[in-house]
Amino acid sequence: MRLNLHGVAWAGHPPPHEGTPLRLVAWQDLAVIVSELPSGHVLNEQDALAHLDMLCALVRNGPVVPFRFGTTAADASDIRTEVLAPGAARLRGQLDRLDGLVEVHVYLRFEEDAALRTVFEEGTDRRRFVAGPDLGGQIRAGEEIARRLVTWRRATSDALLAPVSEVARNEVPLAEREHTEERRAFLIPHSELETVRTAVAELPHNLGAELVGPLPAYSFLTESTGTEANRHSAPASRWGW
Amino acid sequence: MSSPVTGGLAEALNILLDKGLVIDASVRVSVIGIEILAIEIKVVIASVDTYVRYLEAMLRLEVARRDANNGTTPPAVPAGQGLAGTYGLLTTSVPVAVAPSPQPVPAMAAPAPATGPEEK
Repeated sequence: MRLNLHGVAWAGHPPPHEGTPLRLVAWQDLAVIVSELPSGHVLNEQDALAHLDMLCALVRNGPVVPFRFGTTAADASDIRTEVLAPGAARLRGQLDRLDGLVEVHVYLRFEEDAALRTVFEEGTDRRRFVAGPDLGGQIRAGEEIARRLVTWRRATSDALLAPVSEVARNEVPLAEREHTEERRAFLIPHSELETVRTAVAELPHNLGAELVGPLPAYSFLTESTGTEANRHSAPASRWGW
Repeated sequence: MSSPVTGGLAEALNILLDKGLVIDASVRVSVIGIEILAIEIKVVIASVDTYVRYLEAMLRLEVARRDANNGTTPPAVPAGQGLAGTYGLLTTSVPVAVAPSPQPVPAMAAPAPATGPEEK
């Protein structure tokens, strides 16, 4: 039986509701939120969703530094000696910095035909939208259209999401799935959640705007102010955020 | 916003799955399971199909613009051709029966016509 590590919080973080498999492994003023991982259990998508769902619930009651999904430890003593003790200053720095803040995601989906029409009408050099005779020419022209779509989408999103940006402490673009889909993460004060919800609800309906949160601040983990020589733990991201 | 939207949470999971604190110098605390998850990390796959769709849309818009300038009506889009009513593959000429035009409408594979802002 191993322990599945979900996040780091203050030791005084309100305990999870009864009935959840979570418990705190504390060391000084810090704690790791864990659940038990049965021997032989292979983590799956439901486990990942449950991990994120639990963190979303926990972050409402205070800052939580999330672990990458799938982080496990042999037992509680390993958590104290391998995670909390050596990383204490950095973890405290992260928790202080994230105090009162949560991450939210906003997804906007622009209609492709309308977006392409706008790009066409605003195009000052439409010959670049015409494909050459070979595949390379088609790809180059397609890339140019895609580039202009993204430029237009970002500028339009900047304007649409200005009310959210105004209350946000930080924001970053998220990996995009389509050229016409804007996905951003905002770091906002927990007290501004309703403001953000209202701002997103007032966006044009044809955007299919979606707000997801509050989430742990995955997209805003940075180097903190810790001073240990042994900086063996680091927030990580494939995209470098 | 009492709870996250479930569908949105699944989408957020795709974005956040490989983010988070990593303890990378410990053999007693480690990340497991990521490689065995079949959760798709969704990123843009800029396929040729996507570009073809964009180019066909631009061609339709260009034809419509020229027809509007010539006072003619674009033909009905044949059903079942291409994506979202496009005319088909890029190497296929736009139907020549669009309308009498002082300028022949080029195929997408033809040399690029000059279509600057003065033609709007």
